[in-house]
Amino acid sequence: MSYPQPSSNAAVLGGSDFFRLNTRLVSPGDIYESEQGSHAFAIGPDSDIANVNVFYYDPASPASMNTFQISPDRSFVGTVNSRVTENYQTPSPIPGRVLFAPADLYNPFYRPTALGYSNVNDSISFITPILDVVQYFTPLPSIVPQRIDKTYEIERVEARGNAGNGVGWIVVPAWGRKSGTFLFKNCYTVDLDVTLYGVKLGISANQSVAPSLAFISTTVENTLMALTTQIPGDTTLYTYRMSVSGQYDYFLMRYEAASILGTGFGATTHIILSDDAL
Amino acid sequence: MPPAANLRAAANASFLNCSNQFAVGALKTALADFVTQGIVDFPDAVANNRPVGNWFVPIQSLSTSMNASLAFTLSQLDEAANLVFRICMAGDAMQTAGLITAPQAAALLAAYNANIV
Repeated sequence: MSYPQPSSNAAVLGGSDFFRLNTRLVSPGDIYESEQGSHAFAIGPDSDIANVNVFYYDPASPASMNTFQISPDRSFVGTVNSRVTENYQTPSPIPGRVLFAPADLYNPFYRPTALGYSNVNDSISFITPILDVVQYFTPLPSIVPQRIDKTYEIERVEARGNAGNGVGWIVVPAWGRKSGTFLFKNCYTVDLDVTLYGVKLGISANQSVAPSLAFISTTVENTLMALTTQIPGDTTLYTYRMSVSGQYDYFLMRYEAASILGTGFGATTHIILSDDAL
Repeated sequence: MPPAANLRAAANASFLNCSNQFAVGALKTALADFVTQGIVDFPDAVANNRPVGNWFVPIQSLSTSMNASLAFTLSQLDEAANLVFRICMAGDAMQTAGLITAPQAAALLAAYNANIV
C-alpha cells in the first residue's frame, strides 16, 4: 500500500463531497482506513480490483463490526458512520474507523510453475493493480459505478527470459472483466510462440501439494488461446468472452522465441478489457 | 503441519492450516487466540501498526460470529483462510517497507505458529 495512505479527512476539510482512494496495491494484505463516515461507497473508474470489502463499526454485530462488499455491479448507498470515539470489540482497542480491503486475491509472488515457469531462466512482469474506491459525503439516490475499459500497450516483452534462453511471461489484472481483445504481433525476424491463460488464484505456495485429507486452495490455470506460432510480422487476435471462457483473477501471457539468441524485445501486445459482456 | 518459517510461508499455508483447525472443530478458538496473542504487538496508537493491526478487526469478528461447535461452514473456512493470508502478507510487506520492526513481524509469526498451525 502507498503509505501514509491518502486521508479522507483532507477531502472533508477541503470541502470536497467525495473522497477517492486511488492507489496501486503493494501486497495482498493491503488494508486502508477512513475516519470519515459517508452516504455511499462505489468502485472508482480506474480500479483493477473489482470487489472490495468495507468493514465498519456496528455495535449490533459480532465484535461490533459489520461488512459489505461493493463491485462494479453493486455500489452501496446508505449512511455509514465512522465511529472513532468507539472501539471495535478486539482484545486491544481499535477505534471504529471504516476499513477497506480488496476482496479479490492479488499475489505478486505468483509464479506459473505448473506451466513450466523457470525461476532461473524465465522473466515475469505484473501490471500492478490499482484500487480505486469512492466515498461520497452527500446523499445520493443511486450510483452506477461503471469502470473504464482498460487499455494495456505492452511493448517490451522479453521472449527469451532473463538468461536469453528462457520464456517471457506477462500478468494482467482480470478481476470482474467480462470481455476483451488481445492483439499479438510478432516483430521479431523469427517465429514467436504465444499462449494466453486465465488464472484463478488459490491460497497455496505450490500447486503440486500431495493429496491430503485437508482442503487445499489451489491456483488454476486455464488455456484460453492455445499455443500459436506467429511467423515474423504476423498478428493474432483473441477475443475474450466471460460467458464462453469463464472469469479470472489474471490473464497470463507466455511468449517464447526459441530460435533467437540472447535477449531482445520483439513481441508487442495490445489489450482492451471491459466490464460489458459480449 | 510444521511451523511456518516466515510470514510469506505462513500466508501460503493459511488455507491448509485453517482447514486442519476446521476439521477438528477448533477454528473459532484458533482465530480468537491468534488475535489475543498477536494484537498486543500492534497498538493502534502507533499509526505504522495499522496496516497490520486493522486486520485483527475482521478476524475477531469472524471468530465471534462462529458457533463454538463443529458447525462451522465452508464459507467461514474460506473467510478465515483469506483473512489470515492477508494479515500475514501485510506483515511481510510492512516489514519490507520498514513500517513494522523485525520483532513485530516475528511476534506475528509466533502468534500464527502457536495458534493457526
